[in-house]
Amino acid sequence: MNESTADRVLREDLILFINSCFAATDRSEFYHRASQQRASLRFVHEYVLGNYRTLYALTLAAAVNDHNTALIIENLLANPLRYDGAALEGELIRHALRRIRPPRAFRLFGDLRRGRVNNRRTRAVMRDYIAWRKDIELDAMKYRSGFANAARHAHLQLPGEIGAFVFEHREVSRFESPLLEAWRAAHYAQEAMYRLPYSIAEGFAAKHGVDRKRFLERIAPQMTVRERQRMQASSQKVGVSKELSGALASMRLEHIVPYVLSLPHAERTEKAAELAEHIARAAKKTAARADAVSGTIASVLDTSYSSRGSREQKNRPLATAIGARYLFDAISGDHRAFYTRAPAEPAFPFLDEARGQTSIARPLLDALETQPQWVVIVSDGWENNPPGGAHGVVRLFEEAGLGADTAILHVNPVFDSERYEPRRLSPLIPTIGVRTAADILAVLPYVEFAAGRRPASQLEHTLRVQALRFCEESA
Amino acid sequence: MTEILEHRLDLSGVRFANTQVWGTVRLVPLLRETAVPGLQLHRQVVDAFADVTLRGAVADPTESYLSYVPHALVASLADEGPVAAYGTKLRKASAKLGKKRGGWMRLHRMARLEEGNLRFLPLHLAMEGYLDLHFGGPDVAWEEYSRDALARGLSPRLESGVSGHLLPGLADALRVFEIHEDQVGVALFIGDVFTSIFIAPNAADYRVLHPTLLTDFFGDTIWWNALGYPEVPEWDTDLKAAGDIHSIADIRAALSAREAEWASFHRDLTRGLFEAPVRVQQVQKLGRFRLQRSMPTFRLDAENHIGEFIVDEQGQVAYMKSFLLTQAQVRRGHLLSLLHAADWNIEEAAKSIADSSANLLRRIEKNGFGYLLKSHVREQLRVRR
Repeated sequence: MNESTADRVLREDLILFINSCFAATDRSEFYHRASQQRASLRFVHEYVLGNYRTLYALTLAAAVNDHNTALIIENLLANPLRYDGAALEGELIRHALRRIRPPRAFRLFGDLRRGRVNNRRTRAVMRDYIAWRKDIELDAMKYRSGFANAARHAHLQLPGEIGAFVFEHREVSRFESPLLEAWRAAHYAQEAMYRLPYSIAEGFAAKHGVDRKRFLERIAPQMTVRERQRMQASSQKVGVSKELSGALASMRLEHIVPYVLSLPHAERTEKAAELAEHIARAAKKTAARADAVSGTIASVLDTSYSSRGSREQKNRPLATAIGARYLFDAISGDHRAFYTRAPAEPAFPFLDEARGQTSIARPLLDALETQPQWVVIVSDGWENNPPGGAHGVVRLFEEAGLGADTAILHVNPVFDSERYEPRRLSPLIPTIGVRTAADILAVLPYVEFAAGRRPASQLEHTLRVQALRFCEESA
Repeated sequence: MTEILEHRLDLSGVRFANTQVWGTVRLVPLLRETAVPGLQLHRQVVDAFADVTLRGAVADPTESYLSYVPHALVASLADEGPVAAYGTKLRKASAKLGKKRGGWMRLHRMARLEEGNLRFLPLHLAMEGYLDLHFGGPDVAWEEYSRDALARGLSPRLESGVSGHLLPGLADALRVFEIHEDQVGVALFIGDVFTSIFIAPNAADYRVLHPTLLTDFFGDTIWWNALGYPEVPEWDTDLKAAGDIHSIADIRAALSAREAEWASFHRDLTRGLFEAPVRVQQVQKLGRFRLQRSMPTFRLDAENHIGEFIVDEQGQVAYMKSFLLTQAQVRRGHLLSLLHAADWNIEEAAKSIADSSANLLRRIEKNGFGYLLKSHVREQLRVRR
């Protein structure tokens, strides 16, 4: 493919941005601190916003992670621009905001307030969002400060008792609404807090000094599914719940693998078969959501020491690699996994800790030897045994004309703040960023562009089509 | 203790693996498939300023030195076969290690057998070998030397080093370093200068001692080096095909060949330490192992490393730590050796290097040994300049 320099720059910039938006957050990674990540990511956003405003907005439709969705919305609202695409941009913001988790949306409102962004569109976005939420009472309670922020910032007219609840609850002696009344009463009576959502009741439990075990037993019916999953370990510790399978059965792939890795080694070993089954089932569910990619797959999974991540995100790169192994099993009947360090029990790769050096070149050769249609490398891109080995292997492989039927792809869960994108293994291997193993299917449409096999104009077109479809589906 | 031997260090079982680069720091992992059996090394935290007795009783030393001591290393004999400590192991605190009072403590000897174990202060041993050199000063009362020099020799003899904590990037480099399964040591390059080497008897001991590299001290030029070269390049493995590539196996062979090339390249860079036979001084014995330190040679045209090591009867290295002397330190050592060789006679010494006495005196002054000379000699030097 011949493309002009301008086109190449555009394509590379966009792919860099999309990759970063999938992989990056403001939290520290193994190699870089949170502050470095934040500064680097802010720069990438500013750069793309300044140079490709339309495409910047279109990225909202690409299922990028919540952190970056919020950041894009914040930047778009903070830099209002009157132009032809304003209507589409408004639609995208509206729908994207509904996709991210509510605590993030309310945090975004707080950021907008702190940034003194208060234009007409910002107020309208906040108003629309709060009007769209199903249970405004529950939101006002769960996200009280964020909600109050938004109400104040956007001059909202709050219906019913909510205004009083948020701003002058001390003056109210009794609420009509049972939920709000329970909240008022819980300040004085323990019994009332068990009618509240778990996250609110927890504060009251601490206030009243309620025994942990008793509290968890009684609040259990009020927990959401995710809360129940998250509290699994804690509940087991105080002896409230014994069985694992209940919570595991409904967990999604991106949650179950980190959870399994967080279990003590003895428990993991003991229940290995059961855990493997649950992960495999979660992977099948994820695979079913996307159009399956057919063909034989060989994966090269990085379980080196650096994949233990940071204290803030323990084992995330490792979880991505292990999740990928199960996901590929689910996608393709013919999948073989190769590791940077062979697991002690190949059937249960989650039993091993992240350890050892990063040798990509040799497992890559092993993978290529099986002559698969796809070779997928899941790695943070810091290859050191030998450095640049993967590039050398792929170069010779292609020069020798051995690689006609094999597509090689590098999936990277870690944003490298020094390079403003997930670190590449080689210019010959397209790199795409992901946050979790489940994202791998979502990023597949961009592989062709990352590899430079399709031009920037088509990428623009793809993003536009995606954006329109996104708005239609959401509406 | 003062027996001087000459032998070659045997590093044949050790393989140089691929480097890991972080900023100015290049770390070359040293692997060994089978550990040296029978020896275990662990760390005993001291974290105090210590008054270390060299001669005389602990309470009333006739000769001692003061230094901050982060930790001591304790070598103990293990059962035959590589024994590895897994996780935390409780050990009886050594009764022989004195009490710490207000951050100070007394330590008896740098290397000492305690309850069947060998306790020693890493790098102090090597450094003391350097400091102790011709410490007595002039033996013959030549007219140039001051009364103090004749009575007290080179005391006080000072050398300073930079702690690993202060080397920019070393802490991060050690943190992000990915330790190999059978790694027993590391060769450290800072600003692409071969700085030091550290070898432990087995992989488990190495894994535990890996972070202690940060508490070692380094010559001040290393610090300048680290500041001057904040980034060293990462050499990519640019695979070259030996012939035509027809299969995966050919690529595999090219990869292995390239790795072997790198390994021998890094082995070459550390050649200064291993190639030539070293003159060593026996310090202590523990079973079939001997704790030794190397005597510096002070070649002005080459890197000068001093080191300490534990070797078995075949000369196989079970423990090793080295220190790169700075150029100034080499010059000082060279000068002292020169004077010593000429029985401290200035004219003889000057003749041996075909130079004038005045120049030699000037060198003595410039290298910080002016305090050995009588004040009128120093005065004359100043006038003649």
